[in-house]
Amino acid sequence: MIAFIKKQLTQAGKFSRFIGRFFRELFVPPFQFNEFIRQCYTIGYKSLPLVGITGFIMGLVLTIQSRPTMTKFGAESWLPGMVSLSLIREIAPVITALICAGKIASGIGAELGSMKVTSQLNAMEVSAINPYKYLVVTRVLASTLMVPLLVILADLVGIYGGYIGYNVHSSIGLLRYFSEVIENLDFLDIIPATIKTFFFGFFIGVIGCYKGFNASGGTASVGRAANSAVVTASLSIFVVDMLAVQITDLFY
Amino acid sequence: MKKRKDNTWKLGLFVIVSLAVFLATVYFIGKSQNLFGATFHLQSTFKNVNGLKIGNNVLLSGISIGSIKKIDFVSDSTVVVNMVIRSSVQKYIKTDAFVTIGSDGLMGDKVLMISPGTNSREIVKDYGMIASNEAVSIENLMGGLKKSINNAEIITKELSEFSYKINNGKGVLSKVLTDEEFSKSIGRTLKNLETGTDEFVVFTKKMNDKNGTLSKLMTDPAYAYSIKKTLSAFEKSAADINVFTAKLNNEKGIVSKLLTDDKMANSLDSTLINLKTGTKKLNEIGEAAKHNFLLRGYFKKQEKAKAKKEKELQKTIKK
Amino acid sequence: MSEQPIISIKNLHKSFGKNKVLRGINLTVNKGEDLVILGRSGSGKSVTIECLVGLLEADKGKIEVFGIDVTKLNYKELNKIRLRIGFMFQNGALYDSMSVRENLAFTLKHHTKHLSEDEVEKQINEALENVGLKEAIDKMPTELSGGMIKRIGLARTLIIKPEIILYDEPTAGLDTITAKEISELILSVQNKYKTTALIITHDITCAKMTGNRIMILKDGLIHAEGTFNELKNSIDDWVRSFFEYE
Repeated sequence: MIAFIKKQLTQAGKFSRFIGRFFRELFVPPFQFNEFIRQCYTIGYKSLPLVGITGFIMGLVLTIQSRPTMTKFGAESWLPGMVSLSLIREIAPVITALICAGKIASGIGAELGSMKVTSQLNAMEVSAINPYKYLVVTRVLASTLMVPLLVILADLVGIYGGYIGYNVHSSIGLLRYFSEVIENLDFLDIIPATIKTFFFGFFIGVIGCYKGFNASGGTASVGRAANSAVVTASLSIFVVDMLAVQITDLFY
Repeated sequence: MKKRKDNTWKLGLFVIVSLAVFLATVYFIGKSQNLFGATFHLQSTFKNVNGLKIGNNVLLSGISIGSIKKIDFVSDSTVVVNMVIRSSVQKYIKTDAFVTIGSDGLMGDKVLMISPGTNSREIVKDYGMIASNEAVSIENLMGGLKKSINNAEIITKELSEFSYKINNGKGVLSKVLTDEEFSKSIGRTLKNLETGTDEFVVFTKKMNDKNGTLSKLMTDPAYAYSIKKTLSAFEKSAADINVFTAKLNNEKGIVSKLLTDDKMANSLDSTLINLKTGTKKLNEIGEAAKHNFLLRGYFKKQEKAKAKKEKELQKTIKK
Repeated sequence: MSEQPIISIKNLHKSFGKNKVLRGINLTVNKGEDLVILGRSGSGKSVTIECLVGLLEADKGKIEVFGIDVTKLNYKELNKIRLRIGFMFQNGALYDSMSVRENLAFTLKHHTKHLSEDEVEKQINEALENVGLKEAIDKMPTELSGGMIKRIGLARTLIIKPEIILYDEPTAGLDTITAKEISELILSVQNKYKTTALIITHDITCAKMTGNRIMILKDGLIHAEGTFNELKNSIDDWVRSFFEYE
């Protein structure tokens, strides 16, 4: 039991050190700009269709599902506001982050894991290229910056999905719908929700890299690294979300 | 290498579009809260703001022109409300305008409504003070409504009792107006009176016989004439009474109809019942409005129940 | 052979948990020399050279390369030393997200920012020519055979013009003919660039072809040392057993 606790604490310590190293390396030049751009492309642009489809479906389904209840309360006209609020505040960030955890964290975990077991990391190391800087810093930074952008687009697409969903049973103009949405929004809905997506992105990247970097042994460990990256990243998203919501709640 | 360069523009597009969406959202929200563009401030003091919050809308003639910026205490019983309003509408607000706190719908947010004054032509200044009308809160409204509902209930109850008494014929008036037996007895009395008069005529004929002693006594023409005159007058008045009672008995008469018709009484009764249920419903509206969120659903249920009740009521009336 | 040893390892210890892999290695490599370390799997051959380039941290002992103790260097200083050492991995360790050209350009561009694209291209071509695989320049590592991967790995090592090249099992996993080709390639590269080489292998043919001097590692210690013929005729049965399958 004590050994188990010690092992967990060691893991936590190693992980914290990994994060600490990220911030140290981030501010030490040279910065691998090309690799960063390439990772932004892979993480941001390539995830777009997936995130878009999920966002659209979430908006559509949420509207259709909420309608009976709202109609019961005679508040059908509040549907656009309610759907957009729940999308922006909670659903789009969390769902997008989970999708990204599935796509990005596993991708990074598997990529770095396989590089580790085929000694590509060592190869970089011995050719005096800092693999942490080249691989980790760029990926973590890219996912930290790209996930918020993906969430913003997921918000937009999700709200549009809500518009389609609303027009299934009643009709409203697109302009009227969006002005209804804007009317119901506040900076307190947007800003904390956006800030927390940076943390989502950061943890997705960091956990993917950490798991990949610490893969050891044969090819099986690559699969393990990818799997554990997704699980840990998803869990961390919920934990971060909980913390973010509680902190936001203090200010509201 | 070439492949990578080809993708860069896609990444650029992605980043720019996302940032544009974000900025547009921020801009529009800011616009809806009047953070951008030319604005001016107005202030007003209240004793009670009834839950008005920062960010609530300010309406002028029902159009949203700004929002509440700040709500502060100035003393233990006064609150000053600061609002931000689009500069473009400043010229429509005169110094004698006043503000009222209202609500956006029955259960919506509070809004601050600016009502134009009548006399002044002077336009308000930035950070100017304008007068306030204390809010008519839903609670006050509900209190008033409740009082009038109670009054209406009392009135209907009395009305109902009154008509019940008329219908069931317990009062004197009712007896006079509706008892058939009574009018028959009047008729009988009059008939008796008529036969009495007939006999009297026979008697007077005998008296007119020239052979009787009484006749002799009575044959004085002057005396006889005077008696005859009296009698004919008597006869005439009896006939008049007869006509009156006949009319009274006859159901076609207006008074009679009003006073004796059973159907009429019933319909009066049902009107009163309707009135009573109407009041009850009014009471229920008040009740429902208190449970604000459930408003519509509650009404729907009540409508169904009402329809059912009405059907039953019609059935009982038919019976 | 110059007097000053280019690599000198003294009393090197390394253990993983309770498993003591190295228990006091002592060796020196002189400039221009090709030293072969022979040993069975798990005898600690790879660990020795990984300690040498700082991939592993030695528990105890002194490792001097170019007269500098690498165990006491910080990361930046270590990287300077690393640039002078080439390391050819057992599996080639090509970056499999990059093409052959990018693999070669990667290290080169990273360290020599001033080079023009033409210059880079020229050096890539030269390195590929040395390993005889000029036509594979636009291929991805997954499209290459095992022998080709090793050659490209060597080319990638050569492109930074190292003074020492460490070969980790250069012939492992190859058929005997390809293994012989690789050994010949190593020899030709050694002759051309006059580099010092430390070759780790369990392949006797390779050892015979490439090594001036051979060391045999057993249980974390240097068990025997000498030229190929000396060791072949060693009085030690265990040492002789290595050469039985030649």
